[in-house]
Amino acid sequence: MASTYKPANSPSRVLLSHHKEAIDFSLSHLWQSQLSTWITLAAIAIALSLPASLYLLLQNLKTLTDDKREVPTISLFIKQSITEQQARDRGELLQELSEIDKVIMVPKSEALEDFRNITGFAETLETLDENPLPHVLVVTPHMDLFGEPELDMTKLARKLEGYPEIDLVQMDIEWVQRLRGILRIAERAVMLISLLLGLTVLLVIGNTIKLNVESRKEEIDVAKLIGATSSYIRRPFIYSGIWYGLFGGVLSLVIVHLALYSLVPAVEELARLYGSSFQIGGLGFKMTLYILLASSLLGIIGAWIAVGRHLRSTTLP
Amino acid sequence: MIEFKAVSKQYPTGQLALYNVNLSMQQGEMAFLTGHSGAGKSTLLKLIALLDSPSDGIVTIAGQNTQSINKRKIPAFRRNIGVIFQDHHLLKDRNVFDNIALPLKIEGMRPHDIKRRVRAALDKVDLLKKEKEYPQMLSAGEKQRVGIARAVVNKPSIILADEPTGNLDPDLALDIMHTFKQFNEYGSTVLIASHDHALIKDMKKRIIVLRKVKR
Ligand SMILES: Nc1ncnc2c1ncn2[C@@H]1O[C@H](COP(=O)(O)OP(=O)(O)O)[C@@H](O)[C@H]1O
Ligand SMILES: [Mg+2]
Repeated sequence: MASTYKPANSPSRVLLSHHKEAIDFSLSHLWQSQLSTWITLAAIAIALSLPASLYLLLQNLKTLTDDKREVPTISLFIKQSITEQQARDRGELLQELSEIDKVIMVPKSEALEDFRNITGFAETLETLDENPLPHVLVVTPHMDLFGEPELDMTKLARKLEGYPEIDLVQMDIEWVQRLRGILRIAERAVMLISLLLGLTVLLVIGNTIKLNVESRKEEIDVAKLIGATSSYIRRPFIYSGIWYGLFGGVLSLVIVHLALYSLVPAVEELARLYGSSFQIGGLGFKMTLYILLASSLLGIIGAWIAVGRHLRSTTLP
Repeated sequence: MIEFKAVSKQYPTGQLALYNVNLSMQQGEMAFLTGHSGAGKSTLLKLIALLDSPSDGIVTIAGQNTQSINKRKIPAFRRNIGVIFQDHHLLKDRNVFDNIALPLKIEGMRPHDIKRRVRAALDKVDLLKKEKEYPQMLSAGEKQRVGIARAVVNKPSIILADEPTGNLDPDLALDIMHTFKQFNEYGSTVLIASHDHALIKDMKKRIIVLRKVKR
């Protein structure tokens, strides 16, 4: 068609101006309907802050379990027939294994001394003619090498059981170990909750945009009549979705951090009572970015679905 | 520029709006489309504007069979056709300026150029003083003129108008017709549906008469 007298607009410049227009329009639209905007943002923020704070709780519990002093140890009880020197040699050989961080030899004589010092046992020990205690090797595994600590601990224990000098292997699975196990389950639960609440955010945004589209149906039809493309019509709604997601995400971060800082004094007091240097940790830069990205993305998807439905349902070709 | 070959249009309701229409318009031509109410004038314009498709026959615009235009290209195609609708289709929540600026924004024109073009269009329909007002504050005639300004603001190759002077007093109607004539002189192909016989006779342009389909 003859359009020679039209000024040539470069496609990228046209696109840029379309985006600018859509941004301006969507922002002013949010601003115009402040009450409903805040309600929507609050709904999104609450839905997002729940998984975010659960995640934060988990992270903090994890740092508790990451304490190096709490690394579990394995006690190896040496057979009675093995001499102290043989036990020491075995200890040195074990030290070479890559899974093992360090080995401490506790000879039976030393163990007996320790026992004597525990009140109540001294007399009992006097009645025995010979030291009934075995030599013990206390093995500290290399936690860094471990993917699934629990699994690898049992594997290592089984390997250690195979040495001829060793009578009994006892793992000191402490509360840390158990907590780790629980945390792994909790992590999955948080993931599931995040997924469900993410879906909620998607629905909230999708529905808000849908209402938005419906209230501007006339405008959309007119825009189509005068030659607007589908993407031109879709764009301001997509931006609205981004704003809902992004601002809702920011609001949820504010909520999470307010809650967090209200907890800090209490936690510090508790940690002091237990003589721990534990400090509550925030979400961190990466997680913050991740939450904002995810919420914006949910906004885009929600808006896309809402507008897409309308664009398809319209009667115009 | 515009060619209809044995075109018929039957609406899904069964209503036959056009039957075996043959028509040809040259580029740069100006013509009036008349006929009784219900003769199919609006339907014929819709087929040209790609707002509906024929049930039979071929509509060719600028050498393109409208039926074979890629769906994704329809918006761009439509931007080359300015349509003045019978029921003006203005946006209530935008003022006169923004309503007229819409086609230019869709084309991605610079704000500075948009301002210039919209003012020029407003000047042509004599509404410069009303650019800040909203449609509901305007009289029927003024709304009609805003619709005209919006249709011509991006200088389309084809201008279609469906009863554009229906709501105007005779003086203004004549003015508007001369404005269309001016657009035609600038190079646009203009087709105006109207049943104001006295007015279109004065214009001394080709007159196409649609006769109502008898069933
Ligand atoms: N969307 C529609 N659905 C069904 N029938 C329609 C539709 N639009 C118009 N018609 C019918 O088609 C015929 C032609 O209508 P129209 O093109 O509006 O005529 P005119 O503009 O000349 O008055 C009329 O009988 C009308 O009732
Ligand atoms: Mg009509």
